Amino acid sequence: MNQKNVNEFLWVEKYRPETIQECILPANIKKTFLGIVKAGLMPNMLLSGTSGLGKTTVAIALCKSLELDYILINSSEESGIDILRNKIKQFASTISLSGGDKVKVVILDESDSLNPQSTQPALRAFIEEFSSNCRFIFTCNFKNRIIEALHSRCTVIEFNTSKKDLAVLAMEFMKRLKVILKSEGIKFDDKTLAELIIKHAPDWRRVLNESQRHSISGEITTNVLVGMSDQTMSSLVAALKDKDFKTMRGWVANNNDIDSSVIFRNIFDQVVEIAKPGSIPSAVIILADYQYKAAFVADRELNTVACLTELMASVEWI
Amino acid sequence: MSTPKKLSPFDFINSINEGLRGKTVLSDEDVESGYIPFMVNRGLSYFNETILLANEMNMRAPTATKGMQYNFLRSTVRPAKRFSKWLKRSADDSDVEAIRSAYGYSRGKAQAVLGILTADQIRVIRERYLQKGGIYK
Repeated sequence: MNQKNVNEFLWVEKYRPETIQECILPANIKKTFLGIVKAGLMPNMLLSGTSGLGKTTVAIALCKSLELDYILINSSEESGIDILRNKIKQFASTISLSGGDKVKVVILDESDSLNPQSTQPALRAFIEEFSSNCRFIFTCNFKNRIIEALHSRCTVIEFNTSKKDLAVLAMEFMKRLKVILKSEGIKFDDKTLAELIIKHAPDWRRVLNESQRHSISGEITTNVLVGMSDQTMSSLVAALKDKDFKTMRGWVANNNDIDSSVIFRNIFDQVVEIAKPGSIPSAVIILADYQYKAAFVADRELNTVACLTELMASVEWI
Repeated sequence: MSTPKKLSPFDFINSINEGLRGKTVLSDEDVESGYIPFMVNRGLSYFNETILLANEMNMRAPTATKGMQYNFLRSTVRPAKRFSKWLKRSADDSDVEAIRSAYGYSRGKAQAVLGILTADQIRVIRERYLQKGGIYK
């Protein structure tokens, strides 16, 4: 069993684009990356944007297109200073096997998890020390969590999608999804696929994961539109309605992998439907306030608990 | 002569729960060396009457000194005896760990694909990525 076989298990890996041309990106962003491939010069880069847009895929595709050795480090799991001292230094300080003049690339995925007090400042010196033979690509969801000194050492590319772009990209992704489903022998109808894409766009990874999750029977039905997260959220909402702090606190601890913005968005959707109309304005203000605070708090889990506690105290449910 | 014991975050949580009426008044030196804001705030996040105060300091962690944070909480938290388990994820994380190792995913991404993989596929991944030194974890 090798890595290739394991990659066959997940569609997101099996069908991950290998070149920039294959990536589904807004035209201006794609043009920028194609320019880098054409020039053959890899800069230090900071790629920012929400999840599932293809930041990591682009970083890997760039390395493959330019035939550069790379190492992918998931910063959310390895965020301490030790990762710099050991893994990165060891990789960056050696010459690439693909040719003496070729640079190596360190891809720091989800780099907004890197410690801004220790690891991020230390990376400044690393970027300069190894500038002759190593480049760094940082991917992140929140670029404001990356210190200014790293911003200024990188080309910052935001994966923003305008409404106009989104419609084009959704069409493009629909075509790609149909090809994938056909090659996997999965039956589908266009309307369900379109609804699924509209529901999760522009999180293309989520669309593909949900498609695979619901294709076990060999057919994608409208069940795909009732995601697992809806079921998870319903237990949270029940705890909020019951003003059950202990259950709510346990839920947050158990689901600390879900981004707080996703939780807040889902709560808002529920509030509109099942809260008394008079409670909606205060709920919106609470959610917006905590969404804002989430960008700079030290502990996001705690911020989410505080938000839900305020909602429990303020919102009256139907 | 024995050296004084270094204070843990739990000593600070106890002191905060005693409030201003408490006997323990910690020196600036104690606070600077042993106070870990992340742990203290987490410890206070398990109670509905202290979570909002803890989050005030959670927001101001980069600017408020440890002494300022300790004194704020000690002055505002209502004195009471509070006990709670330190909550951790309850799910069996070994499958998530195997997926993480196999694909280089973060915990969140690994969790998201856990329900997609079949039992056989997870077994293959576990065998390949968690079997180290002849020991099956």
